[in-house]
Amino acid sequence: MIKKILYLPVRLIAILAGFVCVVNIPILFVFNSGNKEVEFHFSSYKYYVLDNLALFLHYNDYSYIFHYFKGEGMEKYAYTMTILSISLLLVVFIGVIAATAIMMLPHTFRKRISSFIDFTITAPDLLIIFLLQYMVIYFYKTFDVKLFQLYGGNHTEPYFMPIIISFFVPAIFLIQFLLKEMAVEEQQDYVLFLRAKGLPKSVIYIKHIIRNIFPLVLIHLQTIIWFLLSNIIVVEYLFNIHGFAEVLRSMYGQRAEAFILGFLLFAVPIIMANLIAYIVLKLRKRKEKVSV
Amino acid sequence: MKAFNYKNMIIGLSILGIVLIFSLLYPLYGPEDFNKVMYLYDKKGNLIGVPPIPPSSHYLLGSDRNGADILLMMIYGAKFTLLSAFGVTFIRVLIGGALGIIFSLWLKRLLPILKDFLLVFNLVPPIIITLVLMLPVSTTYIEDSVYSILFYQIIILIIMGVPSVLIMTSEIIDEMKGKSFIQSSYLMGGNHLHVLKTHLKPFLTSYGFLMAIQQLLNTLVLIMYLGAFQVYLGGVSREEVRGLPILNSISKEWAGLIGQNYREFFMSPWVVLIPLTCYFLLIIIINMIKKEIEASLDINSLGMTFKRRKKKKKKQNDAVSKNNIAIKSDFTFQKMSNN
Repeated sequence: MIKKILYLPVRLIAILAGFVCVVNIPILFVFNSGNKEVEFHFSSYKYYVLDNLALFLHYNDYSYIFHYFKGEGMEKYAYTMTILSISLLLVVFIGVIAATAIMMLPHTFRKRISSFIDFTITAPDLLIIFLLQYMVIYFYKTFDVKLFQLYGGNHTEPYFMPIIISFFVPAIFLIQFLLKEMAVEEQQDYVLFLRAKGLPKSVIYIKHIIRNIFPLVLIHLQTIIWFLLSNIIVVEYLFNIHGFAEVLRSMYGQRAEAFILGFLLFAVPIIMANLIAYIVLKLRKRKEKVSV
Repeated sequence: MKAFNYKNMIIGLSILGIVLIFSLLYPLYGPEDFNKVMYLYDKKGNLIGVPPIPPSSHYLLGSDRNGADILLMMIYGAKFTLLSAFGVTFIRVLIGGALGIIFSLWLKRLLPILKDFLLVFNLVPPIIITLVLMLPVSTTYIEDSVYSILFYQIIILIIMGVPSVLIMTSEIIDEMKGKSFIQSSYLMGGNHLHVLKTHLKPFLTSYGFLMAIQQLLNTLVLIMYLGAFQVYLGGVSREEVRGLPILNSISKEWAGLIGQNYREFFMSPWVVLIPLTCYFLLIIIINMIKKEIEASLDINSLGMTFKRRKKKKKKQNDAVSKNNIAIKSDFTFQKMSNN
């Protein structure tokens, strides 16, 4: 335990160094537009990496961070994260409900639906995003409903569209995963015992299997958030909404520390999800392990 | 390896190979401007149509808003999509696998720190990192520099995939090291190189094959995402989509064709749907190959020995329970006899 705590600063520096090294890659491989060649500058890369690391580790004046948190960037960050959290809730909620509902269907239906889901998963996410987008626009055009705002403008922040479009693929992914895991869980002895006792399917699935499956959902939150974030960024771009990714892109070439902070902020949701999963699993004394 | 076990793979790869050969030979037979026509006349000189022209006998797959033939553009661009995806995958697996083997056998102490160092690739979705790192080459037109821009982009695409290959390789080796045959090999005095050559190699080659296909899929999806952000392989051309301020892809690779035309859906859907379907087919072909390899390796995506282990456990349990019954009956019998 003490060893772990003593080791913690080393880990933190390693993680930070990873971020700094990745952000500075355009300095390592420089595209020279003059003679049209890719050049390799290791010495200046080393200099910049060490410089940025020193800024983070030895800087006494952290005022730039406060400055950073005051600006427009934080508003956009809050906006993107609201979309992320709402769609995450929707994904988990709908995913678990749909998976149990499918499991309670008769066997032939279940097989058909799960093979259909397997097929949809192989389709590239972008294709599904495009099709959903076209579908929504088609509905708007034909039925002339204007319930929600579709496109982003100067300072508008639409919520409905990005959530609906970005949550679809991760939800299907979660359903597929849960179906697989539930099929494995069905083989357990306690399920056989419950069946032998004559409990109805609904009680077995809703009361017992879901409870044992839920920690697996927590472990997979990381992957779901990963999917969701990349989908949200694409949807924001396609609908001309200025989210945090746009802010990050516009920051390129300015101060490196602001840029690295932006990347770190993008990593926050996954770290939080892993922390929650870690705490819950510890409290419930499960065997599965989660590490940040 | 028996050839007839890999029917899908042979068919799929030969389709891709034919497309690639057509694409590589394009400069020999194809027009340089993709049959760009602004006004299409029939034989009598009547105006038939202006671009975008739907699929017809003149244009097999139609033409886009600039009047270029979509079929010719797709054939021309196929080599960029296919070769860069396959090349990136190959180098990713090569570098990542080599580093994974080195770090998990000889530099085991550094592995946890290396994993922390590479955590950035786990925490931030790759599309964000790639988009930002590709900014220097993705926005402006630079003359005669398709291949050098492509080279830069390929370097970044390789960097995006190496960490996951590295970590997966080290996990596989860690799992294999726990097996008894490897441990006994170490006990009898075999060094790391010997174990790698004789025991790990067959496992690593088969897993590496599967990993390569997974990486290929990841690369294709990443390139497609980049296309949606109008970051094209090979950079942008000076030309714009007519009437829209969207820069065209210079290499005409498929993801670029999707990205530059996705707003066309309601006015002229074929312009975007044809590249999209082709990309979809490409991914389906690779998925089919992946499924076939998985079936032949008998790997359940997560735990490969899950079924076997379960069977073994069952057997052990049966044996134990039989013994228990025997002991119990024996014990009760003795007890009764004592009383």
